[in-house]
Amino acid sequence: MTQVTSILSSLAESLRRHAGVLRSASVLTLAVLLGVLSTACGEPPTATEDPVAVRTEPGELVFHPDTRPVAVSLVNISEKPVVIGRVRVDESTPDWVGFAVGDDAKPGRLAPGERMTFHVGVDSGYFLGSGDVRPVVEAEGEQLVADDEYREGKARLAFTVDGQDHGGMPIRFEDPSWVGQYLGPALVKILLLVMGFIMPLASLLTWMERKQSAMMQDRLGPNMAALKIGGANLRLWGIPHFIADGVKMLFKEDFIPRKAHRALYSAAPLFAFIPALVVFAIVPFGDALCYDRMLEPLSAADVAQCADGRGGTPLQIAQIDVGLLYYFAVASLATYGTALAGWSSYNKWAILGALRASAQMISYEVAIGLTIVGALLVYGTLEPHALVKAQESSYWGIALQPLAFVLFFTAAMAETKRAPFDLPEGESEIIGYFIEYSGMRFGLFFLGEFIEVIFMSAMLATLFLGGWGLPFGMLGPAGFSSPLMAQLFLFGAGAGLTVMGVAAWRTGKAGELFGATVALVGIIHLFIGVWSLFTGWGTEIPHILVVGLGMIIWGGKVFLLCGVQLLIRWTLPRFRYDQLMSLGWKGLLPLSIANIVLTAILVYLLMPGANPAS
Amino acid sequence: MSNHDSRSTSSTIPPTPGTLPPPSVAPAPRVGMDPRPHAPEGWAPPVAPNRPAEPTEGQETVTLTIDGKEVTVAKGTNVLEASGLLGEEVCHFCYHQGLSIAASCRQCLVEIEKMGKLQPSCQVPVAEGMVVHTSSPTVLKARREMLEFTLKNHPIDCPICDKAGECTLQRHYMAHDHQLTRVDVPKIRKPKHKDIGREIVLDAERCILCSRCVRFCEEIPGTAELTMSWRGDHEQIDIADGHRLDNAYSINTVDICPVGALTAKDFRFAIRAWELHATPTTCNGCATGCAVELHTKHEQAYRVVPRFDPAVNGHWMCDEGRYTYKELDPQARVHRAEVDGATVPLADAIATVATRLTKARKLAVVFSSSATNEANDALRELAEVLATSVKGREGITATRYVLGHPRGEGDAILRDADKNPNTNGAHDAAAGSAGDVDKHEAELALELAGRAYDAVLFLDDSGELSEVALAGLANITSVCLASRRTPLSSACSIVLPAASWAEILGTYTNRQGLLRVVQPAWRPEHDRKHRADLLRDLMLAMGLRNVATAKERTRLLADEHEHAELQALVTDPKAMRPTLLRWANMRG
Amino acid sequence: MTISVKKVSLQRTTRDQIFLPAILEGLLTTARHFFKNTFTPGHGDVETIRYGEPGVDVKDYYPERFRGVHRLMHREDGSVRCVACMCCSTVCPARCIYIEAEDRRDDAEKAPRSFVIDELKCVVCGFCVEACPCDAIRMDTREHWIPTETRAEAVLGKVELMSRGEQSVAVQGGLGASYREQAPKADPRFTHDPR
Repeated sequence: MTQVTSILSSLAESLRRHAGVLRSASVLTLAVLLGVLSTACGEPPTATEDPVAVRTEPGELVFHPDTRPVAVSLVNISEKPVVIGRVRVDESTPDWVGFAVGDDAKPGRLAPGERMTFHVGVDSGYFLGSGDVRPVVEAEGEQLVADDEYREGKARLAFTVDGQDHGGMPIRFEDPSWVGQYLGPALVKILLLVMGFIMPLASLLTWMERKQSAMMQDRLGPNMAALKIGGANLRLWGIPHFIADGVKMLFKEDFIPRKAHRALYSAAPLFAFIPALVVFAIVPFGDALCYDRMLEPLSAADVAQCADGRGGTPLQIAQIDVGLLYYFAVASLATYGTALAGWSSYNKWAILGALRASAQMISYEVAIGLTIVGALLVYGTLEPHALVKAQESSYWGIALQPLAFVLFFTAAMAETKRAPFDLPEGESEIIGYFIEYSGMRFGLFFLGEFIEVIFMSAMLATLFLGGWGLPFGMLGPAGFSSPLMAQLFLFGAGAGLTVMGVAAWRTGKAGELFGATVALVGIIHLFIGVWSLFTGWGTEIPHILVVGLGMIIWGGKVFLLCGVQLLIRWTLPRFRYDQLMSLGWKGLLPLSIANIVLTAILVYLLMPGANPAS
Repeated sequence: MSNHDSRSTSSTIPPTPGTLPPPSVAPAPRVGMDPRPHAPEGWAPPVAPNRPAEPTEGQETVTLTIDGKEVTVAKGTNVLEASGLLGEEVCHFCYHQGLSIAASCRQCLVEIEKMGKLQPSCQVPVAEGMVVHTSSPTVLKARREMLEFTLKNHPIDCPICDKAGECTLQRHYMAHDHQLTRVDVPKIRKPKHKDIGREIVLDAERCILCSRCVRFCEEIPGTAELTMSWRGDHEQIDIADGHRLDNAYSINTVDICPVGALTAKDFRFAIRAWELHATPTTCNGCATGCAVELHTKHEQAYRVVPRFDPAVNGHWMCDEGRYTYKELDPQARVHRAEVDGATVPLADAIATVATRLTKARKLAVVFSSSATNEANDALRELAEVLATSVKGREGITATRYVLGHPRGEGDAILRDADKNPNTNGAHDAAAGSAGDVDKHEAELALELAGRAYDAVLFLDDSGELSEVALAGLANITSVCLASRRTPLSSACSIVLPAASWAEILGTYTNRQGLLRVVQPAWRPEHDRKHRADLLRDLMLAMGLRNVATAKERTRLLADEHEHAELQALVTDPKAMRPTLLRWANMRG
Repeated sequence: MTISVKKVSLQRTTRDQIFLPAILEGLLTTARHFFKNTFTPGHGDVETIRYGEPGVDVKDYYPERFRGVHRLMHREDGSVRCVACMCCSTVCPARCIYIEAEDRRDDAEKAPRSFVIDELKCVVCGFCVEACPCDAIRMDTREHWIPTETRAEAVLGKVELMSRGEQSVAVQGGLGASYREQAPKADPRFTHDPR
């Protein structure tokens, strides 16, 4: 006990001593964890005192003209059994005729926690044109619509609970415009993702790459650029260097070699840069956002409905069913950028680099494609959003497909053309396909490379690391929950981190602060674990917070994976070209095929739904 | 070149040591006399008399053993020279191939079997069956101790000594002695930087008393200004009372001085010897055509030193010839073509000259006795071309002149009164053309002053014309192939940039009728070209084809004279590359 | 004639062949450095001297034998000690020393009329100091050559070089004739040559 006290006191001492120099990463981690903790500190949910002890999922039903019948659940959230009466559409609502409750809604008794699921459908033809029940008074909320358009409609799903009338569930019919449904949200999401995340992170990575490599090699790295605001001279660990770099690139001479093909030479950077950005369309950076009820806790069905586009929008720019194929299609366009840059430069080194790049990218795309098949077999979908949802409900891809993770990581690094796969660039031998480029044209290649790094991190996070989710379903649509696995994880990780931290801290003066930070993180884990033991840590939090946390978690994963890529880039030496090719064709390709076969057998044997014979 | 061959060929006529030089040849009257220079009656190159080495046919030979190797040499050879046949000569200071034997330095001591003491090898004539050891322990020890003795009073001020880098004492010290001094008493002080002549400064401290300079003054110019004075430690070189070392060959004493005791005022402190590149070439100071080396660095010449040539100059050259390098002053060079005072591209200038010459009605071409055979030959060809009528133009016969430096002083040793290197060649070329016989400078000046011509082509920038004649040049088409700014080239209306003698491969014909070779020390920069090539451009601009280049003319000459050395130079231009003195054998 | 080739097969274990353990080891090493240097105050193992930062004096870090800007030493009478022997300009690998000699008209006999060092060309090798027989040129100023705005400012003449210099009392040949009176007795250890 005294040892613990002494450790804690010296921990506090150490923290106090080094408070001024806490590095950004540890501060960020602490802030996130403390934020989570403080949110969790609210009252744990209890059964409502309302006689209506039944909750509808979703809370509000939204129909679009082409919506198929929707599954609706009634959940008993009280602590005693209830009797559900007949479920019907309330005839007193204006458009009750347009909706119908399916036959599977059977009145009956619901045990505590039990749920009854049935379907509700819509007759969208009823809403075509102005309709039969035209309001008499034209002034009040009249909708004047053409005969081939849909008007809005409202109704209510009504039922009785223990004989009392339940508040029911509002039903809405709407036909949002294309702009409101698709274009507007998409533009906002593109802005949010590109301007709010990708570009800042890519710029930051240019600094981070140099700073991190410096730290890895016992150097200082960039630290001199400063923002001079008033009297203050903000050095910010050299972060302003990327601003200085940007300014430099913009104002540098834009040189075009005399014999270069001017048009293609100018277009090549765009060919390399644009696909790198466009592939981000399929990356889900959060679950779904419900426009109307951001401040209330929502159920999974609510969010699923929003994810479907009804009453909300999925946090993904384009929800395409063939999502990953789209990625392959667009990413392979980037090869044109490099090939054209090399060819149009009229430089032998450039064309060598371009040839290497083309061969390398084509070789490794095969491996990437085959690697992902394993994940497809397990999760049964190509759509990234659905993939993440599937991981949420089972296990992360890294647990189910460890081999695929390694193979994909390797091939993805090769796709980004960075060390140890930087033969197309090979700055110590041929400089590569962009040897002739300068100024912002070079800047586009440079930035494009980092955007590819971010994209690969995002893909890794989406395919193998559960996208925006916390492990073991700790963060659901409604808020935090702590199943047994999560508790085990919290205790295990907490204990491990604490021991490691203390060990690192005790080894020497140099590791003191780092060790203390790790130990602190471990103790927080333990604390949350203990907390969740007593409370179940099931906390419903407002929808907007869940979405925000999800995005932060996703961003954190991407950032960390970028860091890992930088770490690899600055650790491993470059391959020789024959090694590169033999790794691609003789290593990754057979292994990924083996992974497919193995996964197929296991899926056939272990997943009943996947076995057509059963 | 093998020194030994030539020595034996010219051993019959020794110079007379100790006699006064013959009176210098007075400047010859110009008109009505054969202008071609000839060597004085009975003249022979000043090569030392009694230096047989390799036996020639019919000569009596002696066979001896040196360091275990048998060698057969001509009778009368001394042991030192015999050892030279086997490789390196025994190390020495006072012995010089071109001078008499003094045996004063005692550096060349060798062990000869059946002789009790070590013997100075330079003084011992070979004998049949003699067995000589040049590197036995005794000899090596003696050699070291002699060196240490020599160095006892030497000031070792190599940092300020001009000889450093080409110093025999340095070389022998590094090769044979290489030890720290054991002298701990003050050294003897003697006069430093003593002005003993027009060209020479003496540093008596550095002197090792080899007496080479004394013997030179006695034997070659025969003036005997230098002498040894005092005795023992205090012995030193000095000038004879009331005399100064002012003979016309005095700088040779600097060349033969094995240390830096005698330094030339002109070269003193100018540059360090090891920075220089040496180009073997020919002196163009007079009609003798001495073999010399031009020492240069970065396209600047620093000195001219004699090169051994038994056929012409032996080991020596005159002081006057040494100053010919001053003609190569980079400040005075002509780099670009000028037409009527304006700098124009060379091709334009050539075109202008071609147009104007073909339009000329009365034309004079001036051959130059200071230009090479190639240039004079090209001018001859041009004159013949101009004389030929072609379609649209009537041929005009140009009047031919030969112009050169004015005559100067000559003597019976090396200097000739004709101060042009190639008078013979120029006259050969001028006379080789059909038409007029050649005329003289004076006539040219008169005729120019009288506006006798509307076009004149000068092959060279040298030559002295009267002010009036020069003034006459300004108003006519006067073309000068000039390598430097002289009154003549400045007076001409068109100047074509010609390469100087330090930039070309070419030949002179000296007063003996021998072909003398000049080699390039650096490439001509800017628009400068060999004169023959400039004239070739001119002929090409006139529509001719297949005009020989300068190099082709040189090759023809070499073949004609069967001059093997020149043939090699033409075939392999790499052979002309100057040698860095730092790597070459040190002189001394 | 044949060239015999000895074939050596690489002995690779399975662990080597799957690469991953070695890669992870490497990553751990670099990561350890990264975390240590990033999260330790004062940047852990980073040895970089922060030149230009306030409070950091460059000269504190210069080693004892640091080679700085050249200087020319003086004689007793304040004249230049150099005798223009050109040893430095000869040995200079960058060819950055230009000397023109002149007659001194005293015992020292020879002196540089101009002595120019182009500090932009200089590679700070110190050969000139090694080569100097007279202790005339030194590089012990501990002054780092500071970039200048024009090239001409970086070309130092005799006056500037001498302005950094001081009197040298080293005994060497450069003193001219008077060195003989000052010469110490020869060290007996070196007088005997075992040869």
